[in-house]
Amino acid sequence: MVVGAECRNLSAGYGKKRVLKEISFYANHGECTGIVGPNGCGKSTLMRVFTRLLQPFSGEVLVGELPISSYSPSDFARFVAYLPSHIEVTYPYTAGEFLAMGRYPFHRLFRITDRSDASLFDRVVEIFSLAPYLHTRVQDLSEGERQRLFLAQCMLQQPKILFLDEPTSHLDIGRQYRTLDLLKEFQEREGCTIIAILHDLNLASFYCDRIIMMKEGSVVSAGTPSEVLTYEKIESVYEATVLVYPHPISHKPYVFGVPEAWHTLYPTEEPR
Amino acid sequence: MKRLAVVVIFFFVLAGSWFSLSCGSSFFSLSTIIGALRDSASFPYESTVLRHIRIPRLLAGFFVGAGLSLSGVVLQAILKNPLAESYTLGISGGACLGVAAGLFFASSLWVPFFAFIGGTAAVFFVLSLGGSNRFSPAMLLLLGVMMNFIFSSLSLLVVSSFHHAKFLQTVVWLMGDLNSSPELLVRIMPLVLIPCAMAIWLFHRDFDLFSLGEEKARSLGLATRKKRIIWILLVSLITSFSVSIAGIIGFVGLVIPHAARFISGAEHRHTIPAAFFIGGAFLVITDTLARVLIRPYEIPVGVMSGFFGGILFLLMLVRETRRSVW
Repeated sequence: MVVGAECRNLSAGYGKKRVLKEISFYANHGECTGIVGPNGCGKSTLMRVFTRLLQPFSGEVLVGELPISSYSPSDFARFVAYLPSHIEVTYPYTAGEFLAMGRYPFHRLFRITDRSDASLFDRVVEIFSLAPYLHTRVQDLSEGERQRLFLAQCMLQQPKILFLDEPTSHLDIGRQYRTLDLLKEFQEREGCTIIAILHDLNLASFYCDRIIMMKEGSVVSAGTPSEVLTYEKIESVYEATVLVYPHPISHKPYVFGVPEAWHTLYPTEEPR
Repeated sequence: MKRLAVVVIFFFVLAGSWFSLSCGSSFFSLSTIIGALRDSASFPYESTVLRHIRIPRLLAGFFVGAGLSLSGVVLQAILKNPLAESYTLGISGGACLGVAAGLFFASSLWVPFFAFIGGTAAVFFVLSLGGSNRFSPAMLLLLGVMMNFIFSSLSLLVVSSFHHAKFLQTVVWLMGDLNSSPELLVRIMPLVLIPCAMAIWLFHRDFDLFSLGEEKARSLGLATRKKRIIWILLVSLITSFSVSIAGIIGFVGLVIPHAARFISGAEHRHTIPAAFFIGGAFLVITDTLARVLIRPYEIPVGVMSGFFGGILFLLMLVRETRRSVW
């Protein structure tokens, strides 16, 4: 397996506070790797280090088997795309104008567009069904439309590696699945690596080839969904009681939360 | 829509120029203006007035307005703050103190240099206190306005040491005035402003990326820290010339960029030229109004632009809040 992104003994944080403690993990090329873990465990910090938004204290970070510091800013933007968990669009850009900015890393000072730009643009608009909104202001779009737009902009970067910070937050269940389906489809067609922070363990189980589970700035477990998403690991990391059963269709692990009031009603004989 | 914007702006600039050239102590009709410019021999009086008084003043107004408005566009984009401009970030105030110091120590040629130092020092001080994202837009604004206040007081302190004639002239200039602008600076200003404006326009994509916020801008390949410093220095340069010529003129840099975005769209390749021309024409028209409203007295143009700009800004604010509520 070719490695798409990797870090070795990575420590990072803000000021004197160490959020990531000697982390090492890898994500295979062309796979979808999910990062899960409780709030504040350093998932977003990890992503900020990988996207060069945060300088690590120590350790090695590689994308495409080269240290991230060896890329120039625009080379890096052509290789890696990043979807932050929150994007605020202050000025009245239309969706079309916003989308087109995804091509900026490919532009030169005097040569603004080429033909491949236009055809790629049309293709991405079609995949993400954005055609009706191209002239709408980004501020006037609904949450789901906006998330599709943000993802589409990342796709226009034609990244080899795509970092997503909670791509499905604020979306309803239908849109969550549709968004991840789109991503999966795009990934298979373009052969890119996806690394996504997901809060919903069941989405992670469905869509990720590998899952990295984090707690308090360290990797607790890494592997396939059935290796990582066991009730022992989930209960110790999240301090919650859960049941894990295979999904009736995919047979991948499916996590059921159990509220405290129901703990005593536990069917102890049953396999968990 | 875009073509309409170009036509509207073109007519605005033409109308502003005509208004400015025809109004003054005596009214010139359009045919007189054209005749006097073509053939100075048959219109000796008009030709002299136009060449030596009205055209320099028109150009001074246009370049100062265009420069301030352009500074506003750049600052609003790179700080992702719709309330940013050289006035609200303290650049004007710092530049103003620089000018006062320059007038105190040296000849008028060195004034923009002092203004540049003052303006740059002020904006970096405000940004290092406020950070680019640690404070909310409103907080940064408050900080900048406070800085402006402090710098203005210091400028007044320096100015109060001047002798009578110089004192009076400087105080009028402080209010924002195009009447007493030094001719040499008015000639140098376009040599500074036009290359700066071209550079800003060429790099219009930078400002689109900046307005997406730090994270998105950097992940789309923009070296934000380096670029931010470069553009702030350029804005300081433009502002220091504007302030050296015309004193503190508030609100042009705040309101005109919003008007430009409204007319031409938010993409900076359209916003930048739109703001340049609308800003120029706006200040020319305001200055002409300031000259003719209560003749033979002149209202300082800073007072006028503050008044009308403020009202325009309030209207836009109300409109925007209505929009977002419904």
